[in-house]
Amino acid sequence: MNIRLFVACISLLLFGRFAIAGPEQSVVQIINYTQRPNWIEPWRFSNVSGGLGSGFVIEGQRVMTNAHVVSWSKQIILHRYQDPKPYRARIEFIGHDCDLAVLKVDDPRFFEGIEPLPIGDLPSVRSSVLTYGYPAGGRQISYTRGVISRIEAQRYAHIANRSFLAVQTDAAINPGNSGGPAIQDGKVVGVSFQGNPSLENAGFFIPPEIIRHFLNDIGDGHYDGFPDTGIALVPLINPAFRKSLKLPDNGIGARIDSIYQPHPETHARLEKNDVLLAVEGYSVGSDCMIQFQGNRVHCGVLFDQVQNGESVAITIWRAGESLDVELPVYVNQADHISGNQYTAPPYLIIGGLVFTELSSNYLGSLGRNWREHTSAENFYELLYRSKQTSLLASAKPIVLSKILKHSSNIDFNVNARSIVTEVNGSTIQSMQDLKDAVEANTGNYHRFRFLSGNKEEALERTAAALANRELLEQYNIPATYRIRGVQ
Amino acid sequence: MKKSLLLLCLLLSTVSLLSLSAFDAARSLVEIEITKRSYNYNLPWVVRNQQIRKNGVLIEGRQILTTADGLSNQYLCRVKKGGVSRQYIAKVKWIDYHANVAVLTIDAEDFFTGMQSVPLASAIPQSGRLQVYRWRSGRIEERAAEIIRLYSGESKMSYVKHLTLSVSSEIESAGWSEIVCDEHDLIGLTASASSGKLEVLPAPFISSVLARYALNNDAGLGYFDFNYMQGKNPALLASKGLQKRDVGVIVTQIDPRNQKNYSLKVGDIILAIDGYSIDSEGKYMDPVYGRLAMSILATHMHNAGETLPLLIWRDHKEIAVNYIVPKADFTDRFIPEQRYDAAPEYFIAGGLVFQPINGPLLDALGSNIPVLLDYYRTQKSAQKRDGLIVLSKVLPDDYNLGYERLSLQIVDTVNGHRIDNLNSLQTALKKPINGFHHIQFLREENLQHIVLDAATMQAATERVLDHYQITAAKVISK
Repeated sequence: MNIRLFVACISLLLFGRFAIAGPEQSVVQIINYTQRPNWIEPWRFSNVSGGLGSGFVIEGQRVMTNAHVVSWSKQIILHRYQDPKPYRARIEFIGHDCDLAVLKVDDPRFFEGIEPLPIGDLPSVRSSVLTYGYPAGGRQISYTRGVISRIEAQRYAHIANRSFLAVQTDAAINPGNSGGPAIQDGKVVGVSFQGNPSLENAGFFIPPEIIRHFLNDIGDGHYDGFPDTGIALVPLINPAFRKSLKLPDNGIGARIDSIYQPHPETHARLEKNDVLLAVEGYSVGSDCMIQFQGNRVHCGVLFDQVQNGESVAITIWRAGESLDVELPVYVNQADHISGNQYTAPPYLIIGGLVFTELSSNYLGSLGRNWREHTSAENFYELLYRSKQTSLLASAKPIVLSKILKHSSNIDFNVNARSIVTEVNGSTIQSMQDLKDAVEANTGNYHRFRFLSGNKEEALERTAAALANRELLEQYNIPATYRIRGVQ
Repeated sequence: MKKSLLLLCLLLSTVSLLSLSAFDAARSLVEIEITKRSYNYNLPWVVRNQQIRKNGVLIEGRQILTTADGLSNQYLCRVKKGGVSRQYIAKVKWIDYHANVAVLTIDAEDFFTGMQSVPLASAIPQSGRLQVYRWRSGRIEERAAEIIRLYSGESKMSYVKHLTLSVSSEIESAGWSEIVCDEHDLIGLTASASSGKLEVLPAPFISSVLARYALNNDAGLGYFDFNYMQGKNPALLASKGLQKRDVGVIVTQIDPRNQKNYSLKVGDIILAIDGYSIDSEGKYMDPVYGRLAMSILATHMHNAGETLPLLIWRDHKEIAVNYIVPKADFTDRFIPEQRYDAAPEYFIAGGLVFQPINGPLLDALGSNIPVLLDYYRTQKSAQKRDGLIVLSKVLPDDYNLGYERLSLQIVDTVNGHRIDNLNSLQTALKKPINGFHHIQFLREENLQHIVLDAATMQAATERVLDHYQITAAKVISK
């Protein structure tokens, strides 16, 4: 009797210790003080704002969280579990495409007594998962439980123009949960990151595949990103199309409809109407899907598993026969403007005319009804470049954002939001082109041509330089230009 | 003696009163009932019936004058006069949609008994009061109108700009060719109405249209087919070597299909048209009507085909060029803005519905219009094409399995042939490649290439027509 009681007490003590040292010890609350740029008047920044999120400790004395929790940061403060002391942190690496970031903490005492959480494997659908975080609705750590509802490629809202594997759960994931871990059997099987307000009980987290890719990428001290093949793959269902390609009607094979620009490596090896039969040994269905760890997902997830510059083994069907191809894949450096950006936009002011890059962010700043205020031409220039030529895909359209009025430009008869196509005889494909065209001009006038209506205009050169000096002083503008991080 | 003098004065004043009140709306104004076919460009094979009522006025030559508005696709016109109930069958003698003017005739002789034609004013006032007339439930409604201004306005029915009179009036639901008169003459017909204002088609413009129709070879209504911007910025003029300021407009766009042998070049500054100086707002001083936008110089005093002398600034000097006024023609445009007196064109092949892109189709799409279509609407041409064909929808059938969700995709080529219109589409579908039809869409589209079986297309089309209860596989204008 006494022995049984003694064993029960010891068990209780041991169990109690395990209960106390749970994953929540490793989950942190993140406060991020932010300042965003103004995309219309790019020399200005907004008022300082604050955001809350979650994160968790991983090996290497790092805190993992979402990129969107720590974007535009001016100062990051962390709080440990049930500890009032604030700790300063800074971003070590940030991946805007996959919405992940790792932080370093200035004070090494932050990590004392905290076990780093291990990264697990992709969970199974129908299995249970617990999320940990600091969502809105209270100030203490919060737990929710749910099942894995679905595993599919989803659009990652932070960058908005890429899709990666994502896990859907009915565990409540609310604002503030972002960056917190989803735990199964003591391991991290996901990082909570977004919801879908139009669905009920649908939260999403970033799976281990994406987390590992991010961590492996930063192993060399530099974040490259997720590579992109540039392939536009479409279902191949119509029997006549299959027959014309000499393919059996067996539900295998999706078609390469086109290849985006630039992506030279893909253009060198693949052609339109090649049929993708297999990727890394996985058979590709006529609906573009593969069977991946029990889930039917878009075959694109296999390309997200390799690092920049590595190759993917694919099997294609061309001209009636099967062909094996090693396809090297690279991060697309050319396109920033169709997705969200997280660095201050470039600008240049000449004679009071403010020029900046046309981008998704710029258009989004035009107000709630920006789609109605944006001309079809501007949309076309933003969205369709990668379908044209390699040069156009890499070019950045420059738009007249604003005119700071001055006597020398008061009659300038072009509206704001017009894309400039030519300055002083030079075609404008980037902010650098604009700067060069303006600086190289020794004539009496700066001459401009704009896309909308093919309008042309001019400024008297010396009057424009004088106007700039006066306007910069009047509007407290720190510099005439900022070209990609260089002021 | 005094009595006879008094009587004489009375008689004279009565006579003069009679001649002043010569205009009697009840004897000149008519009500027109139009029965017409109406179409839905979203479902181009559906034809509906519609009836509208508007106004007209008897002018010389036993003609009923009205605006062209509402007459498109009419097949039965009837006219009522003098507030009586009898309806007379009327025929459209001619109609000019570009000018928004139409003339009807009536065969029945007894229609003209008791009717009086109204003269068209040769000049119109620029301020003051006028009267607006229409029939309302068998009685003449006469309302006051006050002139706001005279200006160069865009026609309600076309892209042509012509002299327009804007008046304010409290009359409601107007704009259906009510007549606007002073004491004697017809000043104009109402073309549109909004917020207490009426836009009036003025009599001198109507007269010029009538005069054109009286000629055997009507050259057509003219217009300026180039785009221009105001020359308000002195730096812009100076940069081209012109040291004057506040003069001229700069040519910005000309139709790329016209570029050969065209008198104007992009960048030219137009300083004078037909001897009239053009200011930096694009206006000139009309000898009768004062300051007006230059756009009406093509319609106001000239017909299509005539030569207008222009004074332009090009290559740092003043030169004289001759501009041949082009004819306003909807079908001439890359994306025709309007389509009148015609059913929507379409072509169904294997369940795929193809339509030409034009203004009525784009209007029917409303706010659902895809970005790419909206973009091409703003272009004067695309790779020098004459037009664009869109695959508007797919009627699902086994034949087109996998393509059911395609919607509003712009066609580039079919079987290797570039497609500008439904005729070239029809021809291209007679030339399959190795037993298959290859349809390529424009490079910007989400899906660029589809393939269909050639041998079974005809049978599939017939099956689709039967299944979806569509009577004709195609409607293609000659």
